[in-house]
Amino acid sequence: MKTYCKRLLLLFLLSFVIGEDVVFAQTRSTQFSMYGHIQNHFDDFTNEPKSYFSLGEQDFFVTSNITERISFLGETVVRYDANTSSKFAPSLERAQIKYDYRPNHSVVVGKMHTPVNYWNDVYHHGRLFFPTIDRPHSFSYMVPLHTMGVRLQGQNIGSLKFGYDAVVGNGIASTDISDPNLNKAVTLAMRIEPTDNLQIRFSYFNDFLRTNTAGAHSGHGGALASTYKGALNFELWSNSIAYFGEGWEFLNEFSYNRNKTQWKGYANNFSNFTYLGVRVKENQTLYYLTDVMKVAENDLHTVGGEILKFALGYKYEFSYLYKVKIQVERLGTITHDHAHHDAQDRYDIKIQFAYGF
Amino acid sequence: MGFKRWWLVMVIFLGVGIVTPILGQSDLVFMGNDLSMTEMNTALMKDVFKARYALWPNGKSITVCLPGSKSVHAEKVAQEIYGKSIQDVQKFWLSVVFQGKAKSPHFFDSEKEMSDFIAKTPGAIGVITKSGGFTAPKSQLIKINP
Repeated sequence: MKTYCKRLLLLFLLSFVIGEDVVFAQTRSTQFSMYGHIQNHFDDFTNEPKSYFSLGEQDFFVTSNITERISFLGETVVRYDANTSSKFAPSLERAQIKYDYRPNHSVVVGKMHTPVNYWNDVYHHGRLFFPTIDRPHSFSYMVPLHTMGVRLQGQNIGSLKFGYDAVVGNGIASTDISDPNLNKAVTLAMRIEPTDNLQIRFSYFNDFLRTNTAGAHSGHGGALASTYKGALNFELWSNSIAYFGEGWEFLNEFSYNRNKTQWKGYANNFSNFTYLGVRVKENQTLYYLTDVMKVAENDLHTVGGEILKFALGYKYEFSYLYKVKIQVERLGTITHDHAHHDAQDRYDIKIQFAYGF
Repeated sequence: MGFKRWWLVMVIFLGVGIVTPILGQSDLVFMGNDLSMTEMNTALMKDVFKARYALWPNGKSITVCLPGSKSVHAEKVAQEIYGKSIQDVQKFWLSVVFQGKAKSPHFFDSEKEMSDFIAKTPGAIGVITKSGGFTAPKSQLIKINP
């Protein structure tokens, strides 16, 4: 009798576990994907040529529908890191929980890409999605890549398909686990989609840094090099125009960055990235890009100077999960005067194999 | 008589050719389950299939079902709903999911599999073509108004 009772209890518990799984199976699903790239470089071939292969970011991507309205998205990238013995280290790029409270409105909590412009909000770390080989230069100097915080977002409102994002979170100086500043960084962004393939965006970002330090995930490599460690008010206005049609593609990313310090006043920095692609065949695109950035001499947030890049490229898509890009580029400065006499133009060739599955 | 009849046939033929696209006659068949509606307009249908909404008005999560790339319906669906090639539709969804805007769609190589999945998934909507010859269950049919 005792054994019978035990079996009955076991059966009951088992049926509960199996039953619960069946219920959840209808709503819960988890998917793993991976994106990555491998590159071949032929750098500075007119002065001091260098040729090498390079292993790019390996991006592990996971999404899960936890309930009907709650979902999770995670993106972990393993990439080169000179500070580790293996020279590669993982980096948590996104970890966010989204709650859909209305059909086209949601709230997101966690670490996300700051929706200041089209590139940062759409491509993230997926080279497979990049229209060119590299991100705009401004991403290393003035675009705040990540925010750890809360985001309200909406889309598809009205005939112009208006969308908005409002983000409050840890700012440029923060790490993933703390922020030295009491005040938080604020992002306000809006966009319209007048036609299916056209998107126009505007955004404003503000962060007051008590000390001019750049956290590991701000993306501001230039700020890490700055010797100024005093207070600074960082403001960024951005505009994106993105058109990706059947025949041709266009993306313009404009950023105006104003940094205020008590010592040097306002420093005005700007950058503009333009991409123009023509699809010569369904899976082949010829493209041209210009990337220009100018950081003011009185700027204390970053050590940037000025950059002017032109490139011609060719993209071949073997499938939607694997593409090759070849890019010939010229990197130099905007002005060639006495102050920039040391700056020499350099010419590089890059080949990128980007994949996802 | 020959000329008159020939003329009449031509008028009917041309009339049908012109009027049919205007009325938005489509070869697409839509199936759904617990969407809080049994009919919708073309604009809303396209918005749903383009991941512009996450939920139906009844709060059910939207699950998009599409023909697999090798399915006989794939090309027609890609052109009529997205105005794109099959590969571009695959790229579109890969990008949308990567952005975190929507959950992944489900792809099916057979109409029966899609219909069965929809039957057990509240909030699911799927599309096939009439030319495939599959008769969708009446309870799943969603009417699309121009």
